[in-house]
Amino acid sequence: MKRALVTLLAVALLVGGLSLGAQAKEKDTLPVLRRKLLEAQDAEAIDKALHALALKIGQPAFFADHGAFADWLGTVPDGRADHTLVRRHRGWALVRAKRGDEAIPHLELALKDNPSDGLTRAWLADGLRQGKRFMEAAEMLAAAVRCGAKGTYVDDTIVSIIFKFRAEKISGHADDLPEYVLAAHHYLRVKPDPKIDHMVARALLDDFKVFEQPDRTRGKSWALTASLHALAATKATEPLAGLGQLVYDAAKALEYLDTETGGNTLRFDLLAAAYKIGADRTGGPNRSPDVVVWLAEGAAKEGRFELAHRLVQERLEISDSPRARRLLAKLPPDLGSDG
Amino acid sequence: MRLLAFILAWAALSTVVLAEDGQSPKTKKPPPLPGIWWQKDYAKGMQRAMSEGRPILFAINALETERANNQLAQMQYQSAAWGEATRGYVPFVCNPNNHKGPGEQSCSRYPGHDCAQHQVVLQWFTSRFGDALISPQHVILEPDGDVAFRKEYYTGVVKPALLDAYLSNISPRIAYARAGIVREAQVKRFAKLPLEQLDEKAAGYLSGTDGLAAAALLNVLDDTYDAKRRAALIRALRHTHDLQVPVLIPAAEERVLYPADEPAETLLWIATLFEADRPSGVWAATRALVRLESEAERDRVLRLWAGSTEEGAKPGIDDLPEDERPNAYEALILAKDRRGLATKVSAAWKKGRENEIARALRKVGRTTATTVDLDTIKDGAAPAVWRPALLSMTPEAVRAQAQRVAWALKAMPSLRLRVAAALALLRGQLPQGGTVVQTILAGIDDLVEGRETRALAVRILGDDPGRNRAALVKALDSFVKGGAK
Repeated sequence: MKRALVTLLAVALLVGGLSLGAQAKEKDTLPVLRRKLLEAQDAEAIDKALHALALKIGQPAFFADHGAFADWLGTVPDGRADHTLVRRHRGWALVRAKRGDEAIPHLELALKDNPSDGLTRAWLADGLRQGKRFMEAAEMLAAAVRCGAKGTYVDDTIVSIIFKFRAEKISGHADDLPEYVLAAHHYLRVKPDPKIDHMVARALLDDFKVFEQPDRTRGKSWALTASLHALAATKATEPLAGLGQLVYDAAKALEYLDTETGGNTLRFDLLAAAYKIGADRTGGPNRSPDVVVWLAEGAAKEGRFELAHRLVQERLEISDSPRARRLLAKLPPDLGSDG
Repeated sequence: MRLLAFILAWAALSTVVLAEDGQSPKTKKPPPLPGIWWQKDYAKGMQRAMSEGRPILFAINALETERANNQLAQMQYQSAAWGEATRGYVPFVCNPNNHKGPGEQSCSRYPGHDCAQHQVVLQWFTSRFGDALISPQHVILEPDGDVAFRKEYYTGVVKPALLDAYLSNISPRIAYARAGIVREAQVKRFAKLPLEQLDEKAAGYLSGTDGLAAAALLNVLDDTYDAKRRAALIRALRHTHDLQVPVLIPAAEERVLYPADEPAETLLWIATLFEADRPSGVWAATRALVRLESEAERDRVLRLWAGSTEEGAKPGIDDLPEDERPNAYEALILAKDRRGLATKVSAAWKKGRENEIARALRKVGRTTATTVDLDTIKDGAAPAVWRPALLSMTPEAVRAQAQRVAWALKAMPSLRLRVAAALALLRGQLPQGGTVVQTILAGIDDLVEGRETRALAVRILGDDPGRNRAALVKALDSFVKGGAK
């Protein structure tokens, strides 16, 4: 008898569970989720419904992909498709579907409702990038950061903006900075990032073939800008691949172009950074002997003759260097030995 | 049986000999080619030039339908004379074509070379010097990349003697070492010459075409211990060709930086350099002047400088060529000579060396402390303005302008300027919540700024706390908080 009762109870529980499961399944159907979206009375409920729907992206029974989800949102009746939260989600989905051009109006509308929404601004920046409106994209991403947007998505978007912008268009004028640099400046003003500095400096040095310029006075702004970014890249707290070569290349470009105006302070700092990168902390010779003599010249220009002398001696200990000898001959005569 | 043992022993010995030689007769490497040994790898070659201080030779040999190009490639470049003259160089040949047939190991135009490399080097050369290249052409670069010599076309100017001369000019150490080997015969000949013939014969040799002549004679000098013969050789070196003068500098430097060791030889070297190359003479004279103890000794140097033959003459700065007076004035200040410490001096005496002369006056305590009003210096002014201003401030001046100095400590982008501000605040005993000590320590830890920062800090502290880090931190902290004596 007792056993029969237990069995009966178990069956009842099983039936009950199945019934609840069926109810839950009914909750997750598209018509149910659609109804919830249409019936939602406040922003919170609409947002919750949209999130529930977004979770179904990638399930063929619902939305095959983000594009399908975005298109479906456009079909929602009763004016709900025009609700700013729906437009925001639609914009996001279109960006994810790489249909940035279509996303832009939706996200712009969403921003009118909530201008301080950093995430929406970041999506819009990505959309603008997809629409090849790179400068606006960089400005928008900077605005997004100002509104609190952060994280991998933001980091990846700026890299993508600069990369694509550079691939699309490089200014042909040596003294006008390429637009991708100006785009990067919009972002870096808001969020200093040594990785972006590194990227910009490398791109500038690669694009402006410094040693192919017969006139050394041209392209100073390129070399100075590249050097500023290279110097900023040295502030990275984590190791950046190729940083040593970058700093060396920037120092060499400055040296080759013989930039004077406004470049001396920067040149010294950059050369000091290159010197430190080339230094052998076990006491061996510096791996960039040319940098050692350039830095010595910089020190002499600033009237730091003792430092200049030490560096010249260091260069000459590595090997013969007429350039170092010429500088040594100009230094105060008491330097060296016990004078 | 004995015969068998002999054969075995002979075979074993042969094996040992071969093993020691490292190669079987069949695989033995051919002797090195007599001509130029072209550098095969561009990047490695440039690095080698810099790390070993060798000149770099670019031979542009790109036109194979032109007689001079072909003559250079097939004759000169493969000759022992050109080969020997380029052993101290890192030589690159530039040519866009392929000369290697199927299965061939080496380039047929430049034996022992690799066609891919002479193509790569040509690309680099055109990127640096422009596409409109004239071939043949020879360019010599200094190890740090500056152009030392460039000659388009082949007119016979570029030849082994010229290459030797540029080796002497660019790489004196290598030229000296090579001369000891490849001019051994001349070195021996001069070592045996009678004293009375030395000057004349050496003058003739130096005035000739040998680009290693000065280096060879220095080899002779280094093995000569008789004072009269040494004097004759040093005097003869006044005939050294301009290009070869750098070879003399290390030898002269040993004397002018330590003039008291050999006063007579020091004067000889100064006289020789004045005749061989005027700027080198000025260089030598100023170094000696600074280090000579007595006015009489300095008078001798000044007489050489002024070209005065009058024994006992006391030349003044006005007696020297106008453009050399600033150098003399600076040296005489540093020597604390009355002529350098005169209160009224001509502005022309400072021209071009104003900073150096100001430094010299500071060094001998002849400047009155003047503190610059920091508010008159713009925020973005050059470090050459900011740094001396900060470093020369008195403690009172620092305290009076504390806000501006603190701003510099916080806002200056360059470490060397922040360190200068921190040192000023240390002197003014204004700790800025520990930032002063932290910044000074950052300066001391810096590979470029470290030594100078430490010396300046110790000067302010008065006592050197030694190398112990904790003691240094304690001393700085104590001083800046006003706990110093």
